[in-house]
Amino acid sequence: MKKLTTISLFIFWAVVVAILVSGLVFYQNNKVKPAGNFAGTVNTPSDQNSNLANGLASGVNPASSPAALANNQAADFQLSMAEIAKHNTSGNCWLLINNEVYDVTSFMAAHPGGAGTIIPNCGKESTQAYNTKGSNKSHSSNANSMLADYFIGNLNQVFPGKNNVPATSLAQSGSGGNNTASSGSGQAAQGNPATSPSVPASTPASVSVPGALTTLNVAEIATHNSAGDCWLLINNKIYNVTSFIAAHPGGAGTIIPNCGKESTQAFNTKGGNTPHSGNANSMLTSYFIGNFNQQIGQQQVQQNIQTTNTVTPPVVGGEEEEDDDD
Amino acid sequence: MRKKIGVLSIIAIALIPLIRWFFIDPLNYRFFNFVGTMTSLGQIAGILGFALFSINLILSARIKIVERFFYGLNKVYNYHHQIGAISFSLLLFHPLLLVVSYLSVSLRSAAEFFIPFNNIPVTYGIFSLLIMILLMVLTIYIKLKYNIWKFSHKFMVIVFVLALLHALFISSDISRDAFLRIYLMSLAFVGLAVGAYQSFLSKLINNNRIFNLKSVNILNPQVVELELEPKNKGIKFFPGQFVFISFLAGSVGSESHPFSISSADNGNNLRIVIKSLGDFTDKLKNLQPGLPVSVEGPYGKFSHLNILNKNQVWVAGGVGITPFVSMARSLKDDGYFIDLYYCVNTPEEAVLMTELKELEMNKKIRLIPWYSAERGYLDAKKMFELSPGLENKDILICGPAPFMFGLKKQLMDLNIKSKHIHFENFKLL
Repeated sequence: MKKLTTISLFIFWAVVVAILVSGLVFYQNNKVKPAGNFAGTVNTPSDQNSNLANGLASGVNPASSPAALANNQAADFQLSMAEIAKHNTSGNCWLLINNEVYDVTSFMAAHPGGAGTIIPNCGKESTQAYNTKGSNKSHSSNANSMLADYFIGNLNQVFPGKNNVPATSLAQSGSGGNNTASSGSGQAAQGNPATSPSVPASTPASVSVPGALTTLNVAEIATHNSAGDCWLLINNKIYNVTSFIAAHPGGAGTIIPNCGKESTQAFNTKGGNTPHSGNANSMLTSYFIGNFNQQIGQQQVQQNIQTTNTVTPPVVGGEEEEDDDD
Repeated sequence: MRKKIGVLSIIAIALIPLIRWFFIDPLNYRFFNFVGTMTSLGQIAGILGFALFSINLILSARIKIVERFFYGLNKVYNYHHQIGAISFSLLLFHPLLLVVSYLSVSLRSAAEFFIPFNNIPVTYGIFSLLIMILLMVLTIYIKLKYNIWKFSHKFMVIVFVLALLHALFISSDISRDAFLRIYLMSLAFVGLAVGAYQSFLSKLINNNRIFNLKSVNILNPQVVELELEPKNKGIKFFPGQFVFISFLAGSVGSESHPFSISSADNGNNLRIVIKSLGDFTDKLKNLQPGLPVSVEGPYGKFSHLNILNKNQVWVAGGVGITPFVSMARSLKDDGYFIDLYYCVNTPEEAVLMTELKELEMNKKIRLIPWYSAERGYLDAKKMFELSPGLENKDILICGPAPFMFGLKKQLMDLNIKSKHIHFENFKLL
């Protein structure tokens, strides 16, 4: 018995210390980037000159924007509102929060509150949504510091050279959040065209044909009847809850049998006599695709499938989520 | 099988929540991929560790009914030690397995998972585990003085309360599943209630179990005999049982210590023989008669009366003679044939010899003093020579652990069955 506790204690401290040390050391490295930019953060959209200076400064500093050195022959690039608005899909999502721009594309799958709560804000000013979580709750400090990982730059910040948006999260999305890849030449080699807002062809959402329409009829809904692709028809509205299944407080098992079916009754009664909470109702709205028999763009369906594919059920992210299995 | 009822109930009580857990969600979602599997194993470790922790709280409280299930308080404490180690290891692996899902997001979110104050229920868990680690290190690796260690170990209740808050407030299967929640909370409540009873109420209720120290007889430089006189009412006990004694005044600490009773079962006064093994027992020599003493018990199943076979061999190592003295003093003319081996190094160490010799004259015991300085250690072969028909006798052994286990092994090598060998393990706590 003494052996058992000795071995357990040893493994425990070895793992905890390893994670804490590497996590915190890594945190320091990570902070370099935002810190460099935060130095000149006091920028308002009108303050173009200081932004320009700020952007140039960060371009000169290799640590803050390594990609800049590789492509500085191209034209300047500015994080303008118009630019941000281009990144408005689940496959390419930028958020503007407190005048800072974050590329959260790779994070969406891991978002404890579900990808669905982020997607509607992509490409938009989201300070309010972030601060209130759509209701009255604020994000935890852990969430705040996680957000810092996805920082690209300040609003209207200028990056010298056309193709050098700091590709923070593109590097991350490739390696499952392993941010160590986001420094040095690896980033430049990651293919800046992919990150470049002007060449959006490689972003998953835009691969689909935008023109085609899909009718959300019973036949279409019925095809989404698995845990990996689950639509529900509730009160004549269709919801893609695939990414939510794993996080469902009542368990995945209660949703899955209803996938691809009319589920109003099941939702309203929870299979028994208890209705869902108001919070549950408002969460559901994040997964709304369209109304029954509505025709929606192939692109949107595609987006939903995209979300679906990236959100594998057991991913548990930060600590502020409701259904955190600790 | 009958003797296994205690350990079987522990296993059942610990496994019920686990079985329930397996039916809450389909298993292919529990074990969807590597990360999911690790998370699920982490949840299992948490649920099982917490259930065992609750059970251990109940075991530690010296409840008479629990003792009956386990056939002796020393066995209860034995399980307490083992379950403690298992529960502790499970609880250590609980966060390690859960952090895997954070690692799959990023190294930093994993690091933040271990840092307190990000999330209140997690913080309860972190502090619970940290205090538990400290207390377990004090218990297992650092040999503290008994009274200091015992004081430190009481903080396990704080660890438990924090663990309970963690389990109660964290969103998990426990918060989602009513059965799991009610079951674990009831188990924890029973544990806390029993612990509270043991710590506070039993002392209030057992007010009549106050004795006065009547005399202190110094038997040799190392061994004293205390005689205790009941203030109101004595206690009923089997010869061979032990009591927990705490001195309510005087120069020694007031924590309770277990001692075997050495007096006969018919008198009101209790006698205990104590060998000085540490600070506490050293100080007993200097106690003044008249001190109030609280007596809790009796406990234990170790008695010639609990064995059907009346042909018995009693083997005492050193101060392990005390329960046998009580048994010999209590023997009536009721058909027992006893060989009593009294193993000590030298005749000077053999306390109470005069009285034992008197008992030999009057009763059906045969006293075999064994001085290892002269004859080497007692072994099973010599016992076979000295006690003819040993294979048909039941053997009771009391003494230091290596002495008992060594002898048991030798006896079993000579085809004595384990069920005919009975133990009193003195190292209780």
